[in-house]
Parts: sequence; structure tokens; C-alpha cells
Amino acid sequence: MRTIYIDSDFKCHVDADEVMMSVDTDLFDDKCKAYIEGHRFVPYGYQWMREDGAIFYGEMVAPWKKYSELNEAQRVYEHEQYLSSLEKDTQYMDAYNEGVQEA
Amino acid sequence: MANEYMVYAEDVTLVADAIREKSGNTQQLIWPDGFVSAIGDFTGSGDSIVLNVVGGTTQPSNPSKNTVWVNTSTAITGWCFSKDEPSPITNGMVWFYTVPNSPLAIDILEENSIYLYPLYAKQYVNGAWTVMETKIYQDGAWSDLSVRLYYYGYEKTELTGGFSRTWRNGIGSKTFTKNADNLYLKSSGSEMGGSNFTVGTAYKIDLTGYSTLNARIKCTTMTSSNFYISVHESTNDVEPYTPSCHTSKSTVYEGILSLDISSVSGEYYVLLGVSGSNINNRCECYVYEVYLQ
Repeated sequence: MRTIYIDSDFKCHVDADEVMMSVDTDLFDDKCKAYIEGHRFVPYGYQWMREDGAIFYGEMVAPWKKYSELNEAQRVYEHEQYLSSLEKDTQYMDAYNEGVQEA
Repeated sequence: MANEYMVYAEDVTLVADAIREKSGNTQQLIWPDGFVSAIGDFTGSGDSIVLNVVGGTTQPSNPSKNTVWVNTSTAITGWCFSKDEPSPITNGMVWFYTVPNSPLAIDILEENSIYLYPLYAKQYVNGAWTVMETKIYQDGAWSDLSVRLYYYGYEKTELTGGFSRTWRNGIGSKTFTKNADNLYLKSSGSEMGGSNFTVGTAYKIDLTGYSTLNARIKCTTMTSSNFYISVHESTNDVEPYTPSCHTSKSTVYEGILSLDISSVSGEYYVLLGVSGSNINNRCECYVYEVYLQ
């Protein structure tokens, strides 16, 4: 669960300003900033009108940037997270082995 | 005294020749009764095509039967009803994609019947086909021509493969039933926790050019749950809980659920799901239509 912020057009933000609404949701758990901020979040009880006049009612979470690009950004982020995790594991093992040798 | 006219003999012969060519008779025709009689003997199908395709951004206010209105700001330069992409193509052309059977049928003859089954309409604008909002006026009312993935028991299986791919999570009970005129989803939590249940199309669907995913639903029970529609690109083993691209209801509801997919292009699964997080979750929902605009 994390807190995101939505502006007057229901676009998501990771950081808040003075006027944004805060929303607690688990929909964006483990998602990168680019992915989150490419979405629109319309909470229950609210509605949003698209440029062509179509009205959408909350709860709705939908991309306003190209969805394929958001998914790609998320894949890159997850890969980076994986590499970072691997590096940490290596460091931990090195430290452990060093400790064992000293002992 | 009746009006009198002079005509050239060869002109009268021209008319008689035309009548004989049409009738197939070679006999001499006597003016005027013979001419009148011969014309009266002409036979045809006794029927005519009733179909009027119009474009524009304002829906016609006084339409005739079988008026097909395409909501477009690009002038329609031609149109066809076909299962195959028309050729040659001109900018502004409208292609009504037809199938052997669909919920919306157009009887295009005045007295007899020829049925067309359009599934959707696309217009060729600036080098690309785009699905257009289209309505057809029949029996005193407008019908929306949308791409129906599911319609009161009718499944567009050649496009979707049917709603048959399922994901289940949680210990509670889950039910998915294809009734005669609806899809039925039900989930219940248990002492072990809530349950999530998703059913999706067997095939990915190309959503390019569509702006909205809709479902006509009736949620009769909704406790600590929500019902959602969604699009999802992957069928990997990670079960989609409530996917990030979705719209949902968390209360008893009857009506249309609409998801903005105007920024979604490419191939995606269309999903229906119920999600409950605790022992108390109860959700029953009937889905009558799923369609794209």
C-alpha cells in the first residue's frame, strides 16, 4: 500500500503539491515513478470527462500516456531492481566469506 | 380542344425501338395505346434497396429507415459492406466489416429481405483505418454499432476465443458460469481470507483505434468486494489481482461500466474480475454485454 497524489485532472503523481488529493492504494505497489505518473486515478464518487465528452466514473485507473511505453518503463525498472538485488547478494556473500575466513 | 404537338417520325421510332429493346418484343407498336401497353408490361423485382449512409458530427434528427450515421468530420468518399478490406482505398472511405451473423442485422430491402451483419465501421483517414462511432436507425430507434465481444449469450469467439481463460486466487469459493444470456461471476471469502477471481478472453485483441471498453453489468451482491473490467497484456503465471488498468464498482449496481483505453494500442486480453480482500467478501455479478467503441 502506498500513497499517491492526484491533480485536478486525476493524473497521478508520486510527490504532492499543496492542492493535490492523496490516495492510498496498492495498485501501484512495486511500480516505478514513470509508470505511476503515466496513469490517471479517478476515485469512487468522482467522475472525469474525456476530451470527446465521454464521462468515466470512479473507480477508474487508466493510462493517459501510451500504455506500451509505461509497461516498458516498468520492465526496465524491474530489471534494474533485479540487478541491484543481485549486486547486494554478492556483497553480502563476499562479506560473509570474509568473516568466515577471519574466523 | 386538346393541345396538339408535332413530332418527327424518326423520334417516335426511337422511343418504340427503346421499348422493344427493353421488352424483347419485335412487333410493331401502335401509338399511343400500343406504347402504353408495352411499357405497362415491363416487370422488375418490385423491390428497392433502403440504405442511407451519412457522415457528420451531428446525429441526424429526422432519419429515415436504415439510415447509417458515421460520426466523422471527414467527408465520406465511398463505402462498402464487406468482410475483406476494400480495394482500392480512397481517403474518407468507410468500410463496414461484415460477419455471417451478429446481434445487429440490417434488412436492406423494402419488401423482401437481404440481411447485412455489420460488426463495426472503420474510416480511412490520412493513411490509416480508424474505428468510428456508428449508429443505425431501425424500427424508430437508433442502435449503436460497436464491436461486441459478448452480447447476451453471443460470444464473438473468432475474435476473442471466448471468455474462457481464468485466474483464481484465494481460498474462498469462486464461480464462473456461462448462462443463456449472461456471464455469471461469483466469489465468496472464507475463514482463510478473501478471494479474487478473473476471467479473460482466450485471445489477445487488438485495441488499436478504440477509445473505450464497456460492459453492461448487474451486480446483485457486493460486500467488501469489487467487480472490475480491465485490459492486460500478459497471461503469465502471476495472477492479476485488480490490474492497474481497470474500472470497478464496489456497490450493488446495474448499468454500463466504461474504461478509458484511448492510450492503449496493441494486443491485450480483456478481463472481467471480482476481488475481495477478507472473510466477508461476497460478490455476484451478471455481465450482459462487453463491447468496444
